[in-house]
Amino acid sequence: MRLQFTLVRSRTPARNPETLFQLIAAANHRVTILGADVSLQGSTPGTAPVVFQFLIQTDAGTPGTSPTTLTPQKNDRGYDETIQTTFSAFDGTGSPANPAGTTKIAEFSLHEQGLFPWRPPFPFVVKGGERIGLNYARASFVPVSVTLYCEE
Amino acid sequence: MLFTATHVHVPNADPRTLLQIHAPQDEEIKILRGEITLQGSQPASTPILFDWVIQSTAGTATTLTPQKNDRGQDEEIKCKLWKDFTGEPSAGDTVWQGFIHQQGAWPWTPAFPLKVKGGERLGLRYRSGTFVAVSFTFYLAE
Repeated sequence: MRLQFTLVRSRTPARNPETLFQLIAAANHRVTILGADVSLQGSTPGTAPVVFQFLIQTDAGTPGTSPTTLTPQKNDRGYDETIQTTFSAFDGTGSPANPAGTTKIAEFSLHEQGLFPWRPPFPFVVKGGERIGLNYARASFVPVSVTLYCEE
Repeated sequence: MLFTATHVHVPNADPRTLLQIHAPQDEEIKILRGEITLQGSQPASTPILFDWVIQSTAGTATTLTPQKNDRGQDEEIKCKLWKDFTGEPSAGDTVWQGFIHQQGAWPWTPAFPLKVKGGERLGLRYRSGTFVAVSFTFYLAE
């Protein structure tokens, strides 16, 4: 079943780098990540770009207080099967802590007024039970929008 | 089929619908890709938030006529398209969103064709406090 979810984050950063969201594949149920659209809403042309990293993460970390779960959309809303994959948003409220894990699977830089349709040449496999997170790395935070495309 | 239009945005902090796709009953539509470009003039402005949302009502709008890719086919197009909204449709879940700079362009290429279920309405909205024109072309299959 193909899914996409989308989020916008706009707040003062608590950490650098900072996890924006985490995808958790259900046990014995792999997920493939087909791509993502990432865009930023800064206003300063002369700033250095923001570094984004997809990481394999080994624990849940401590998400913020609201929202801590993301609801993906089924691409085919006629399907009535329950989505197995879960998503956790890190909104920076409360006392969040990034998940552990530093193994990178992709990295790119994006100017704060830019957009990037990230399309890997083959789907990234997330093993059953594995966690993948997207980190934002820059000291100053500008609003960011991410839409992730995946299939379970 | 494909369609293209230009919309001149009236500044408003609230989301405004640019386009609504209404799939015919029991027949899904696939949005294959699109192009969204803006015609602003301020380099230091913040990018504009666009989103695709499921809409439950029609709102108030005018008809947008799509073009068949193969104009030799004489089948009737079933999907309905709407533009130039003067009344906002009711919005539901968001299926995509992204920021585009007012001097920028987005060759919008979802990783898989986004489906609009039979009978469903999907709207493309944007919100900007400044006056800026936007052009869009979308490629659909029904």
